[in-house]
Amino acid sequence: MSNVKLITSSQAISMFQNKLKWFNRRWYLIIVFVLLTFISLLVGVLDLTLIDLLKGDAAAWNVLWISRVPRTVAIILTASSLSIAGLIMQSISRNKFISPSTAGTTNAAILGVLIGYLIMGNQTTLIRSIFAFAFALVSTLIFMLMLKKIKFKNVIYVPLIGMMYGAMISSIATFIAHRYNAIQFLNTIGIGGFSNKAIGSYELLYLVIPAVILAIVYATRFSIAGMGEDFAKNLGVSYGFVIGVGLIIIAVVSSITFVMVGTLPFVGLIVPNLVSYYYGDHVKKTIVDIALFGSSFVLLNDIISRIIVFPYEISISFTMGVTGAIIFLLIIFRRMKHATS
Amino acid sequence: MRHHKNVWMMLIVLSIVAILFYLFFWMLTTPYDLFPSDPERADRMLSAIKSILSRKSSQVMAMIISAILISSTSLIFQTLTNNRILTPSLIGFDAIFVLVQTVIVFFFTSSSIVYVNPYINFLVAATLMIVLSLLMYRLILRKNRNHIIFLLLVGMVLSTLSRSLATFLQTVMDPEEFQSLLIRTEVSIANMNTTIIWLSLPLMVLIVILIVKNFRSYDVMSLGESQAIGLGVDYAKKLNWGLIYIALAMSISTAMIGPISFLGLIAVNAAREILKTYKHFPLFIASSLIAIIFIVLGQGIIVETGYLTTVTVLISMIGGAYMIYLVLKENKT
Repeated sequence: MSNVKLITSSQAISMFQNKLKWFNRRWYLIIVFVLLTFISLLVGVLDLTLIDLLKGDAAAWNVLWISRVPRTVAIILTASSLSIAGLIMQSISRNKFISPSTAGTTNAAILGVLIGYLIMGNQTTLIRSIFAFAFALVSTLIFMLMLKKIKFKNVIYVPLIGMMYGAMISSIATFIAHRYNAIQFLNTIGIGGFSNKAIGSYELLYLVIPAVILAIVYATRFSIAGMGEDFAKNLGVSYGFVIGVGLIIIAVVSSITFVMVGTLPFVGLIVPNLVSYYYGDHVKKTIVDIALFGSSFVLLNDIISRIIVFPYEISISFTMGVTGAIIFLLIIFRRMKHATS
Repeated sequence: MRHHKNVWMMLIVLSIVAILFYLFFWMLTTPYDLFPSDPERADRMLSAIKSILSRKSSQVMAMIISAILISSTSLIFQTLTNNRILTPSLIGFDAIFVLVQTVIVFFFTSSSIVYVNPYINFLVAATLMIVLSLLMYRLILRKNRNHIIFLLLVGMVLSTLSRSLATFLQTVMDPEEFQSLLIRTEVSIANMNTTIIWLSLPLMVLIVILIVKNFRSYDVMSLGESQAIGLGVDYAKKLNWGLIYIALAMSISTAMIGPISFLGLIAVNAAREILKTYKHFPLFIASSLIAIIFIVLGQGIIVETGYLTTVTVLISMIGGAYMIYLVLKENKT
């Protein structure tokens, strides 16, 4: 009898430890995130020190509010929403290698901005985003329908098809731009970054907040939808509706962030992968960690690109391209090992 | 068989028509009198015609070489991956090419012989690219040969990486060096690099001979890996060599006419559809002819219509639609 009791109590302890570990991990993430946020606020060409802020120096506070805070907020909003969009895309398509950038969504957003420009001339960022949104939504929908038809669902084959699909959409955009003399405009789409984000030029990014909240509310349903249509129906989840909500979230996030800050390679791809490696695939449990981790990752990259050629800065998409590619290669190699063993 | 004879005739005639169209069509539309009666002007006209024709024929040559290389390597790549939709252009050789050229300029400067002399430059760039791709192959295919599809994914990531690194080097580079770098990196079909055709022609012949010699093995390999090994093909060796040919061929065609992603896909699949065979030799000839028709005729039409768009864009559009069709059709059968 005492034996049984011993086992249960040790189990209880290990469960408790697991819980503790979980909390610890999240606390680590939160600490790193807060630290990076502080650094991000304090790094810049204009001198800004904590002492000035504490003294209540008006100029210092102006710098903080007009330029530093908008930039940092923009990074956090973009990074967390893109990571969550990647997570949703991966869980509803059941493929770890899919993200807005490997499924033609970004290319469709470019096409949308171009069409909007040709129809209405120079427009506000809001109208640009609406056009990008409409095209991203339709194109992601088409890709998902195509995915349903593919018989040979190899994990890597699918994103490769997605990239070829994206290349086709880009070529349509180039073709149209050639015909209407808009190549120059086409080349400016998607060049952004966080360097020009100040008061008045980043507020549209707040529109991703409702999408993120919706994603958190629907998190469990995305996991269920990822298990397949029949399974979801058995559990009483309306499959089509959930997929539709997911697609809308993906399209909103990728179009707005694309129009506002341009492309951030790999965020939607590697952040969910890394987090699910440590925390598992439970969308509801990991969604906050993914947002935190994604923000920390992009904040770190942004800090690197600001200090590496200080006082100048290099575009964050290059920094992300390098660090993201290296991490992604590590993920691939690990997966390959799993496949072999 | 009779049906096939007609197909061959048509393909050959069409490719000859394409080449002739590219070479001579401008004579019909030019506003100048090509054969003036004044002997002095006739002389000058003749030399002008000669120079135009020699430029156009070296362009045609570059396109033919690239078409043959692209279609033959796409064909064997499809056999090696056992998949009809993938092409080696997905590995992203163009980004690696740009990175290699950037590195050359960055470390040797643009006035060094490695950059100025087109032959040495090409040899160095091609060697570097082959070494890089061999490293990649070694790393990925060492453990398990079935990971060729991983190779594509790694290639795609590496191309983003090399694009980022190249852009970084280009931003910190001297502006004048950057200007001279553009000459080599902005290669496309509208801006061909024909200086190296006399180097790439023998290389192409060599690669084609090597590939053709292996066609029997590839025929067997298209049955699948275990079947091929069972029938006595040294699969791993053939695979490695096939990938080396692909790296070499892609470096040559990228250096001459830049990246054309969907050409191999269209040419090889169209050849398969027309001939309905699995034998590599007829597929190779037919897909090369189709690629030549596509690229030379397409470029010819675009030049004559005043550059409304580029062949690369047209081929990507057609190729993309064709790919979707193939994906959906594969599902039905």
